[in-house]
Amino acid sequence: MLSKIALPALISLAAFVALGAVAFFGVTKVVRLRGETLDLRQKNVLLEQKIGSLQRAGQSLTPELAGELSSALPSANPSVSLLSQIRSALAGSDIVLKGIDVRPEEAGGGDSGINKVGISMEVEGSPSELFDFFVGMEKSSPIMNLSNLELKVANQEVLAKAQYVGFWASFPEKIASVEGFSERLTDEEILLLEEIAAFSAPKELKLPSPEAKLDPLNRPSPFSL
Amino acid sequence: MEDVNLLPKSSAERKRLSAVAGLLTKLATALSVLVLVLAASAIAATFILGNRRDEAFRQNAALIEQVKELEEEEQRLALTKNRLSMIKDLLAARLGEQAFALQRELLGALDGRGELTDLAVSEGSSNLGVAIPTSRLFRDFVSELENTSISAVALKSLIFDSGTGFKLNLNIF
Repeated sequence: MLSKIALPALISLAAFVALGAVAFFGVTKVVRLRGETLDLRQKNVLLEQKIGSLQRAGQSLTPELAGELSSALPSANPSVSLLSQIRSALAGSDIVLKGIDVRPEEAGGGDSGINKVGISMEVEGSPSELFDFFVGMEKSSPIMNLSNLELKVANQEVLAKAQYVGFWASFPEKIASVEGFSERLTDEEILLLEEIAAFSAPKELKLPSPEAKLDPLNRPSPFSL
Repeated sequence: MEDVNLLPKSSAERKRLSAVAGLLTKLATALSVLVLVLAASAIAATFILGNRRDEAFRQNAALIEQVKELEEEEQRLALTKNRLSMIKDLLAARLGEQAFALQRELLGALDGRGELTDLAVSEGSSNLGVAIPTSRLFRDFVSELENTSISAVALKSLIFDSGTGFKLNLNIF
């Protein structure tokens, strides 16, 4: 009689243990797989958003536009380009450049990573031409900010002493990881981008290659920037 | 002589043991079926979720490849964001454009009424020296200032000379 009880009891016990094992390992595996799948799907959604953002950026951010931004805030000391811009702005006007001085400031770049170069100049001309010149300088690349301006007026001529600050900063060395998020450009940034794109860019400085045969009597001026 | 019970000890006890054996058999059967159902469900769920995970993984790998192909655009975007954030700060710190706009307005108010003698622009202030020959032109100049967008003008000094007229030193905001 006891054997009639013992067998189903043993089977029940074994089934109970098996139920626990299946429940534990099965549920653990299912939960893990589900978690991995959800995690991957979430990553895929972010990657799809990133791809969309990059594709849009590829259409709107042309290499030329990126070049204009790099020109507005270059990665190297922009003194030569700034002098070129000043020269271009003065060309065609009756303003007389009486003196110009370039000196680097904060060569270490400070906390912001932005390096500065100071440009002091003395110019003489009519008030309206000088105003046009100074306003024009605000719309040129590389960016330089007026830090101080003094005008003295005598006999309809104005002698202006202006101090400008030019800027440069290293390019970013790292981009986000492949799965990292790439922020899209905000409306405010797009407006700023359009504003900068309208700045007058410095003329390209093209020096003749060493291989080029130069006419010794008709050499290009190295200062014709 | 002691009585001997020849009947089974207890038919009731046997019945009870039989009932327990029957219950245990049913329990064993139910548990076995449950184990089989659960195991089958776990295998099916593992198979389905495994496929879904593999599919998501394949999709992930393909998307990562796509992102890598767009690396040039990503670099351009990173450069643009970097430059724009810096340029935004630089342009916000500009004093020139705003100061020139105010000075132009002030010079417009001065037009035909007097002359600019000197000007100094620095961060936070813009000083102008103005010469106006007569008190009538001085009044005209002051009333014309009301038509400009200059929000405040501080008169820092006023010198009157009977020979040359008024010399004003103004601070505009």
